[in-house]
Amino acid sequence: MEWLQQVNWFVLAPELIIFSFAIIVLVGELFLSANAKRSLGVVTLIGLIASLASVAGIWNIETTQFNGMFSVDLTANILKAILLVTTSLMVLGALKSRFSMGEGEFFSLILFSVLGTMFMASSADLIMLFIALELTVLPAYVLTAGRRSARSSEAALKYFLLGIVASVILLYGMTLLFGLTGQTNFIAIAKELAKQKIDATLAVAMLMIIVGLGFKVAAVPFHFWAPDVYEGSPVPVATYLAAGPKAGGFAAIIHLFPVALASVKPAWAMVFAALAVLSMTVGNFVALAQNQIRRLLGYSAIAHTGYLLIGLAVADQIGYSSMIFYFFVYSLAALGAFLVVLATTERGIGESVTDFAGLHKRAPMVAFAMAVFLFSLVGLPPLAGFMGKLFLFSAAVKSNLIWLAVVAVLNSVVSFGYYVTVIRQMYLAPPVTDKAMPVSAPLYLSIMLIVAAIIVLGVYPTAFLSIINL
Amino acid sequence: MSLESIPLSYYLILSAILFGIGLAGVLLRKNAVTILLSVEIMLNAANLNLVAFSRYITPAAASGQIFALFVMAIAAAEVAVGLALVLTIYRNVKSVNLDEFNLFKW
Repeated sequence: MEWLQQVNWFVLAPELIIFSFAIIVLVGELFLSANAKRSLGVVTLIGLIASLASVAGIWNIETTQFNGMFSVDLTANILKAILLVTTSLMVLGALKSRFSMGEGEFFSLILFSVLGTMFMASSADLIMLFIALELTVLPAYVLTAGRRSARSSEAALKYFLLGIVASVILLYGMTLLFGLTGQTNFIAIAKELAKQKIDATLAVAMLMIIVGLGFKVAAVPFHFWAPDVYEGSPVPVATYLAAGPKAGGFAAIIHLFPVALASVKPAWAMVFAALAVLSMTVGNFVALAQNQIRRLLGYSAIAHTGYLLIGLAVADQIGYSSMIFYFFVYSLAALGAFLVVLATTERGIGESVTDFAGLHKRAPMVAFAMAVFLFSLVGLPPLAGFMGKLFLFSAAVKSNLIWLAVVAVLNSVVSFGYYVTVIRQMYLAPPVTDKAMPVSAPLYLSIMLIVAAIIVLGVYPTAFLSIINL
Repeated sequence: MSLESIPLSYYLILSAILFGIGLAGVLLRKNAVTILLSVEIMLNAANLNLVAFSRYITPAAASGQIFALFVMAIAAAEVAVGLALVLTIYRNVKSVNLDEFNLFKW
């Protein structure tokens, strides 16, 4: 058992903590009384925060474990921290929610999915990447089916069928990459590829991998699952999906393409630029026609995938760092918007945009928070979304992708159209009833924390940027 | 006739044909269970690739074959989740035909 001593278990602490808490919560579901199960959400929250603390403990360590399969580096740590922060806020918001499945099942599935995403952020090997990706999405399929309704199971089945086809295409691309190089480690693949001429097989492998990962981040034309899943799944699950699994998809792209496929950088940068333009345009224009709030946010998520892909089209360190910053900003705002939807649906308010009529009279702070989230998604100063877009678009301009920056700015203007309809409903339309809408304390706290974070990141982004070395 | 007398390209062609059959099944069939089966064929095409490459390109290392083992385990997990999902939708809609799942519109 010599290899056991060679592994530095300390750098695996974040994953080990999440794994143990996932098991604890799952076993708790089995053995606890119905009343005691209500505390499982708090246990989950403690696990997420403990894991976040241990990520902070290994922040500047750079090492690889398990023969180079598991890489600990700053990018991976940042993505893990973002994932853990957003998931903690989501769990905090959902503490008082009613689930149609057991609390323990819900929270342990969330934790297993988080674990998969964390491994994805750290993967430096094709085998590791594929397993981590499956660990991320398999619990997500089950969570999507969590409500006992035709909509929920239809959304889950669509998500599942499209998801496994994308996974298999990704896997086939990986096998071709393995066949070309005889290696599964990203760095070893890059070394082998540098010696070879670029041929058609490599192009096919690259495109298949882009299709597979493009599906995971919901880029057009692989986006069909996203609006259905956001609309059909239980609201807390949609809240998780808005931020969590996407972090994994982008983590995988940031690790795989710049490292393993460095020799064909211009080719994949061009493909990502095309996907960025398609996702932004289709996402924003289709969102204009939506009147169901979760579906609208789903198309907005697709549009934001487009903005984020600009970072990969730029394909240098500034591009990746701006992309990570914007990802954090975007996932906070999207998470906040979904938490507001959670707050309203819990009080029996419907999910169409007109149901938000006069919300500011019934719950002024919640309506204000929703306005902040939506304005941040548009990118209005002084909110975080503005700084995020500023960094991302100026990265595009710096590397002579001015046309891409212009398309992105025009798209932001278009996106104003559908976000502002929600805000207009909340502030200008008359409410159906003047009765105040109560919000449970943890959910209120979570929403207000996100509002504070978005304002602070918008006014003083240097605080975060100095941490991620931008 | 030993295994090595068959060139690598034969395995790759077989794998590509299997992948094509699977993809055609996914795109053309309407029954959720049949689609699940088609995906399994595609997964096995990928496995065949892995094992063939491992045998011909890296005969000294077993990483391709280990990869194939992991893929099989994941395929089993996927089928378990997939059949459970098909079962839940059957309970709600009384059908496994994709044409009848049309609650979501643009």
